[in-house]
Amino acid sequence: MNSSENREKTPGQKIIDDYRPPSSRQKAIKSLRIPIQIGKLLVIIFAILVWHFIYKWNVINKAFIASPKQTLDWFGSNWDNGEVWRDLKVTLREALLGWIIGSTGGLLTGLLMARFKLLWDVTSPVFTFLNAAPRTAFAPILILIFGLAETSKVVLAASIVFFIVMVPTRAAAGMVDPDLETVMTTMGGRERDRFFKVILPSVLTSVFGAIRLGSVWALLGATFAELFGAKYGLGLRYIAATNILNMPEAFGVIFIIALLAIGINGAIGLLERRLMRWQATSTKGSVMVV
Amino acid sequence: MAEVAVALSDVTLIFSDANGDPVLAVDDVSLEVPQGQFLAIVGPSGCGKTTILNMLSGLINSTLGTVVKNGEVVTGPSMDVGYMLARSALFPWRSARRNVEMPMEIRGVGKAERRRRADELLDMVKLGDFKTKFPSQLSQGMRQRVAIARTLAIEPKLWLLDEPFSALDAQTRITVQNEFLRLWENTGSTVILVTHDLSEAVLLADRVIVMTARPGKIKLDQVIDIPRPRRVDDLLDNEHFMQLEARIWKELRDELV
Repeated sequence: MNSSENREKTPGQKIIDDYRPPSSRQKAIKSLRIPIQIGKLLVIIFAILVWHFIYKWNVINKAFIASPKQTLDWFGSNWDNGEVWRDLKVTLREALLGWIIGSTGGLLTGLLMARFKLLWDVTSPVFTFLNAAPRTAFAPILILIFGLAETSKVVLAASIVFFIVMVPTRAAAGMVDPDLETVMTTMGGRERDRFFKVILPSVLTSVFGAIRLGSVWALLGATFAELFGAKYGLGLRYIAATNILNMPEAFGVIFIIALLAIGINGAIGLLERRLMRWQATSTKGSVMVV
Repeated sequence: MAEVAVALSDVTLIFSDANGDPVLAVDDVSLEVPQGQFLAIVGPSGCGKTTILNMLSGLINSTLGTVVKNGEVVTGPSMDVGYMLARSALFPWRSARRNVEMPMEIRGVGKAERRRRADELLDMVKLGDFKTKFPSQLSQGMRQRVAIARTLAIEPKLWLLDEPFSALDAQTRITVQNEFLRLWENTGSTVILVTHDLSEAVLLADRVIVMTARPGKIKLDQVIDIPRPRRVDDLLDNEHFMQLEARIWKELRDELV
């Protein structure tokens, strides 16, 4: 921003002149793109090699891990296994439902708490306690309450996502640029305009990262709850495989979960990039948060 | 004599500071601004300049006295006032065009009409090529010009300007000031500009009011009889301008302790 001001010359010239082309730094990063891709590939190959030799040289007891080859073979013989696909669908459904319920609830509650300060003052001890409590540890209790089927997993996932979204939403709603509110008020904007055209977009901008983080946590929450008992699901498949030391399957399931997380995170990342186009420093290539 | 656009009668404003103690911000100010006048209010920080604007815009109510705008007592914000701040206060997630559309959106102007008018206004502030750019992609001067276009979209009878040129560097400021004069000079609307930059006040306004340090009172009311249309850069070495500025400066200096 400062450099563009320095570049301004005579007033007449300025209008054409003060459009800012991409900085040289941005160009430099662009020219590095291909070497970076190659570097990434090399690091992945290296990681697989390390894994391979850990197995081969017995660094860890072979009974407890699977080799890269075994894991790949498991994928080869199970890619059309209907039961694996069914488990995947169940876990994904639990995670997505938990994510949607948790983020919607977190967003609405956060906005409500920011709007009615008194409500927050009164309820905050309970929220603080629930947020501090190890919610994953509620998994067995939730299964007792909601049963073995998907509901208990959705509840756990939603309860984790709820706080991930609620806490920053409340903070963000209190930090809306007061100039924007002033402008909206002096333009004659009503309460509805203020909410939909100023507060909600500002808050969504700030908490988009949290919502994205929530998606990955929803998947973790759902899978984790399945470990304690489920009818179907990747978590159940995983714990069943480790119980009988079927390590290729255990590793395969871990890979599926990780790939799912990357996929969900990536999809939301694309959406975010599309919606946040207006930001000067875009969220391109933002950190993978798991 | 033109009709009165804005009238403050014996206006006093007291607010509570952070400790809850009462602060006298504006002390018994009376002021009449005829329709079409460009009035500048200068004074030291905390003299209640912005407070007066906020009372005129209906953001706050006076403790004593009445604020009348276009013959009606101000009780809250209204749609015929254009308020501009030091920072452009554009909505960062909206393109230049959609920012200019905002006031029309609030009034329920149809989408096509809104867009046509926004494009027209952006052309007027010479940003025709930047309609789809976001504020983060514009320089500060361009952003403030978008803010001018957005305020024009309100078609305000009264402009309230709270140091809208102060955050710009010296050269951009001159360009944007000229831009503003060019667009305003044939609208017949009233302007009240609050600034701590005396030259700016004298260059732009028909009349300059100097306020005292807190509590704010009117110390000097000076007519600026420089003919219009004006161009800010042509006036900088104008003798009459310099005399007026020197005279007002003497009054203002005593307030800057």
